[in-house]
Amino acid sequence: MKKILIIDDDQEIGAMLQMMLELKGYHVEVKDRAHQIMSLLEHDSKDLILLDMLIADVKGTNLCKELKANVGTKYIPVIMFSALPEIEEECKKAGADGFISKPFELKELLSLIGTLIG
Amino acid sequence: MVSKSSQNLPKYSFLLSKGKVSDVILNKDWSKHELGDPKRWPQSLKTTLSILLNSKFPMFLFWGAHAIYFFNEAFQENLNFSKNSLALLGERGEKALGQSWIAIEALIRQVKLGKGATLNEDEFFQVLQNGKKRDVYLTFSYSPVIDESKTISGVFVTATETTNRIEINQQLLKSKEELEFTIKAANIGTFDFNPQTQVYTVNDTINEWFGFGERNNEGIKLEKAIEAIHPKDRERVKNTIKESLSFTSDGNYAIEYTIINQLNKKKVLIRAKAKVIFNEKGEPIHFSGTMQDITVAKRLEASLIENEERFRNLADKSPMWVWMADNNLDITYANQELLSFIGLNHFSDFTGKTWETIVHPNDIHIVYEIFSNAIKNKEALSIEIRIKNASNLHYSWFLIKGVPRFEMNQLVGFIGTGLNIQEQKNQLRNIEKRSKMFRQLSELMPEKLTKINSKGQVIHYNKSWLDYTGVTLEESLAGGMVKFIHPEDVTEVLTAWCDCLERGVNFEKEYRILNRNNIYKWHLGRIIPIKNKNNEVLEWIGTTTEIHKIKEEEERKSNFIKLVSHEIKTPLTSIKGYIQILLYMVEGKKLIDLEKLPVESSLQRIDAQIIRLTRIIEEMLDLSRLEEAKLELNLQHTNLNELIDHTIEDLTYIFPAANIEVNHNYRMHLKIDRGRMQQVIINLVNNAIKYSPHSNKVVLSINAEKNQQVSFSCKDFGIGISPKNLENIFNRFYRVEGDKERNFSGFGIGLFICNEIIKEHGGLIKVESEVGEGSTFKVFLKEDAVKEGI
Repeated sequence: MKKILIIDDDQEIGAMLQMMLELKGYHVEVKDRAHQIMSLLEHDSKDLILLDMLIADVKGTNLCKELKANVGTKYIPVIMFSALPEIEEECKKAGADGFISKPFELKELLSLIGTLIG
Repeated sequence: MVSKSSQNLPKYSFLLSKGKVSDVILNKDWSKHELGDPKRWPQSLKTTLSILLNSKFPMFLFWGAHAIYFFNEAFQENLNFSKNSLALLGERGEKALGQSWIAIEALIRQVKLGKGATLNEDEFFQVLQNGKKRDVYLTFSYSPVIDESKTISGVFVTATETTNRIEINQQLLKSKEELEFTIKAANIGTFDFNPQTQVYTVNDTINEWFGFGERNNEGIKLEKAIEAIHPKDRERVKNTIKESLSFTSDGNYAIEYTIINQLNKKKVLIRAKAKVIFNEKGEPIHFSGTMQDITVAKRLEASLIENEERFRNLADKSPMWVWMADNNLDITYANQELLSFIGLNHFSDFTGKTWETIVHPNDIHIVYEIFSNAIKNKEALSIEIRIKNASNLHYSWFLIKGVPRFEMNQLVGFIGTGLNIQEQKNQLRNIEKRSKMFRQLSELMPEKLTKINSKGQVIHYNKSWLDYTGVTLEESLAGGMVKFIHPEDVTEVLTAWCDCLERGVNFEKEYRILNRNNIYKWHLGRIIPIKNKNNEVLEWIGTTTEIHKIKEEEERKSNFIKLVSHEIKTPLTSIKGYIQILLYMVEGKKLIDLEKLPVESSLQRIDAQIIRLTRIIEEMLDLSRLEEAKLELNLQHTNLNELIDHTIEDLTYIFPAANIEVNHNYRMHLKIDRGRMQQVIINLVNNAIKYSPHSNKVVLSINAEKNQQVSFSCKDFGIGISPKNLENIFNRFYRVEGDKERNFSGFGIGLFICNEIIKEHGGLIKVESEVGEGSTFKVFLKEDAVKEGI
């Protein structure tokens, strides 16, 4: 079972995505902040990370850069999402493998996830 | 007695006089001399010597066959030819007189030959007079001295000095030569007519004019002279000569006539002047005078008259003043325009008037200064003076200009113009007044102004500029304004400005400028070129307006819009997600495991998100209402304790994890807008939860306060608010910013709206906070205002 980590400070979004992805058969974990994410990933590696731009403690792009700079985490695909479509470029620059703007089509998200981890 | 008297008597009877010459004769040893002892000298010699020695006129004598030389005291003193002349007395003439002897001997011989007395006039000699050499002219008279034997044995010579007469004659001659030369040089003809012989004597000049041909001593016959006169003038000239020669006339002759040169047939215009001299019988004996060739002068005179007439015609029609003045700058002509301005009809009325009578008293000294300089330096003059208008007695400004006139290199006066410049002066004064006003205005106005020259250099900063930067004008001008522009903006500003400077077009840019407190503030800089008729830039005027507040407001607005869209999109995303899941279910698609689908909880979540969305939209509407000042309260008697309880119940559903505690320390009824008050409670609790990432506890308390006030407070244990942010927390679009706060989603207008609602209720919100400890928002409401009706 592929494991997905969702990082979003909006509990509603997190819950909705969790419900949907679990229905789809993924193992899902939700966090609302970047705090301790790196240590979490160290002993519990994930297949994909869904990362919101706005999270409780740091900017989503900063976390993305950190993930992509770390040998242990750099190969985990990261999909970033935001209510502001204009930041797509910024996210790609930070190393994100995919970008989706809110509100998104589930089909689109699922197909993007499928493309990245099968 | 005898011896005594014989001692007193002279040794020689003829030596009665005393002096050096007498002493020589007396003391000379005559014994070996060819004349022998003087006592035995012939009586004629002695008599002659006696006359000679007693005379005060210079005289000398040659006696005997060998012409023995004697002279007297006067000769010795005044006309002596050599230094030791006394030693020569009694010597032979030949020996005593040296070279002069030859000429003298010839005369003596003539006298001795019995040719009588002889004059030798104006002989030049160099003589010793009182020991000094002098050039003299002497006239000698040689007379024979006849002795007892009736033979001429001596020649008696008297000398008269004629030096003065000779010198006068020489001067006369010189003067005459000079006069002739002058006459010739001045091209003046002279003539002398002899009425008896009817013959003219004329000088070379006249001879040339008339073309009489080669000169001879016979002069020109009257008929020949008349022939040369132009036929039209001939009779007139003849008659005039006749009149002048008649004794009844005063003898003055003055006439102008034309002659025809007899050789080249050229016409010459002659002006003749002469005077007739009559003898005692009344007959004319002399008729002499001068002639002038006035051909050129006459022609010039005619053209001058014509020119002057033409000039006057023009001048009188000129709308400008035209004047002429003599070399003292006294007015000799004024045109009609000038005359009528000073109230005169005709120039003759101007007689005796000077500039003083028409010029403003304060300007007179300038007139004198400029005029005397113009006369002294013979140069053009230009002066602005006030002149009295005769019609209204007011002074008007005139620009008077004049140029010097010369005749034969002599300054003869000035010719000039006068232009009424009162209107120009008025305009100039207005412009000066306005530009002064503008300068004052530009200094006083709050806008920052700069003046920039055509090369792009700032040449002036107004007071506002200097006040803003806190740098003096001198330093600003020396240092330029670039150093005040924010480093991030400077390249863009300079690039744009260089482009505008080159193309001469308006510059407009927003950039940050450093103030005196070292803080950059946003400004709108505009620079506009001022151009001349040829579209060339003369200078630039720059205005710099502080737009910092506008800029900040704009930035906040743009952030707000981003925030709103984010806030709306988040519940929308959630709703959309649940609906899509439910849709799959309804459509029976087997994409997901339907058994596991929690329909009820999904619908509840959708509902909660729609409530959230509705609240956001409400807040936005509130904001626009606040902007239009349309926040209307629907006041109702309300139990605040109950209202708070209900609201917290609703919130617990939205924030299931939150631990909200409510302390009812006081119970109250108030007249409030329930919906609005609920909005305030939701906002405060919402913020408390949002800014407390590590704590879920929120405490609400309802209390009685002093001065008949009540309060409810909302306390959290979150990140707190820094003192700097506390100042702005109730401002619209203000969202506390910092590394920690940045990522909290939420609406920037919540607290602003709360504050507005409470103010509308006549209350007030206070906040106390400490970073890292949490914040307490406390709402105060007046109890008495709301107690009625309970």
